[in-house]
This record gives sequence, C-alpha cells and structure tokens, in this order.
Amino acid sequence: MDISKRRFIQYQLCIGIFALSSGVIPRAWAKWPSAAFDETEYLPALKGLIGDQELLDGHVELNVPDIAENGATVPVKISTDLDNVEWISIMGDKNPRPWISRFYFHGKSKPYVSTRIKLRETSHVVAIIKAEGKLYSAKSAVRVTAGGCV
Amino acid sequence: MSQKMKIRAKVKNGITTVKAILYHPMESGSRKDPDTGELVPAHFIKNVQAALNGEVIISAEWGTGISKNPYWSFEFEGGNPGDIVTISWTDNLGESGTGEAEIK
Repeated sequence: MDISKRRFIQYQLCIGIFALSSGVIPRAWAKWPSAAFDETEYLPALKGLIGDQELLDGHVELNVPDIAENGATVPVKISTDLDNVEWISIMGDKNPRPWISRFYFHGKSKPYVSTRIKLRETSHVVAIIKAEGKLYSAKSAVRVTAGGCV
Repeated sequence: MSQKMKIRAKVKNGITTVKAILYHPMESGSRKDPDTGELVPAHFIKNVQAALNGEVIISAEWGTGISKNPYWSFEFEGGNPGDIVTISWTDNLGESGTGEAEIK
C-alpha cells in the first residue's frame, strides 16, 4: 500500500470515529454489541451477548445447509413460532469473530431472518432468539469444504 | 465506492416479502491482499435499518461474518401495493447507503 492510500484510510477512519463520537450518526445507529463482537472465542462472545442467562431449547427453526462448498456465502434462515420476539442473533462457533449479527423486530415485522454468512471452517451455526425476556437457541453443524475469508 | 442496492418488495396474502442485496466489500480486516501480502483494512456494514413508509420495522447490527455484498430477506404484515420500503446502512468507516422499493 502506498503512503497516500494509507493516509486516505486513516482519514476515513478519523471521519468514522468523529461521526460516531459527535452524534452525527443518529442514536438509533449507535447500538452495537462490542462486548460480543470483540471476542475471538465462542463462549466469551456468547457471554458478551447474553451474559449468564440460560438458553432454552425449542421454538427456533434454523435452516442451514449440511455441506457448504463455499464458506464465504452460507445461506441461513431463522424463524420461530414465538410471539413478541425482541431479537434474533446469529453466531458461528469457529469463526475468528464468532458473533455475526443481531436483528431487532419492531411493529409489524415477522420474526424471520434470511441472509448469507461467512464460515471459516466446519462449525456450528447458532441461532439465538430473545422473546418476552427469555432466550431460546438452536444450533446446526455445517461442513465447510472451502473456508470463507473471514 | 459504489453504494448501489438491489431491493424488491412483494405482498401476497397480507405478508410482504422484501429481498435485498447491499453492495459492500464486508472486509473483516484479517484478509491479506494476495498481491501485496498486507492486511486489507476492515470495512464492513455495522448498522442496518428497514422502514415501511418511513417507520422503522427492523434494525440490525452486523459484524464481519456477514458475507460480501450482503443478501437480506425479511417479512412483515400490513404492507400495501405502492407503499415504500427503505433500507439504509452505515459502516465502520462512517459511509452510508440507502435504497428503496415500492411494494408490488
């Protein structure tokens, strides 16, 4: 990388930090689970997300392929029969950053997520749902034949 | 950087399904440039919102584990043909993007 490009990136970083710290970005954007994102191991990342709260079985429909030829784009679908779902979160237990995402549901949105994630290697995809103060989870193994650049 | 987005919304039996592709590199910061051997700096979407006629219905936090050019589909009740669905995002460098679709 040449110096000007590095400068440019530093400049962009500064803008980003300034925007976040100065409130240029609306408060709704500012929510971010650093405690989960910063962890590089699954259990600490999970703890960063949910603390010591118990995970219950059932009610989580997690749909992932058994085998993923390309770990860079693994389709994930999550749905539930629970009412009043606050959020759905996705984790990959062998990823360099195991916490992947969290979706909050408001108004008339259905508690449903369909997206594509990166998996570095064969691992478990974990779906966690928070509804009426309780946490439910499901996990499913995905065999990755070519890892994603995560 | 391109900030294009593909977004489609369709209502059927009272349920609107939205499918979107957000064009973004989603660099994790741990990938090496194959030419220079240097780490490619992290550049990824952190926050995303979906709104129906301006009212937020889903907000999300994304990490680096979401794939490049993220695909996102979601559903909601109560949409009518002609209503506007908007998706907007901001990334870790302070860049942002937005796209909208009319419900068909």
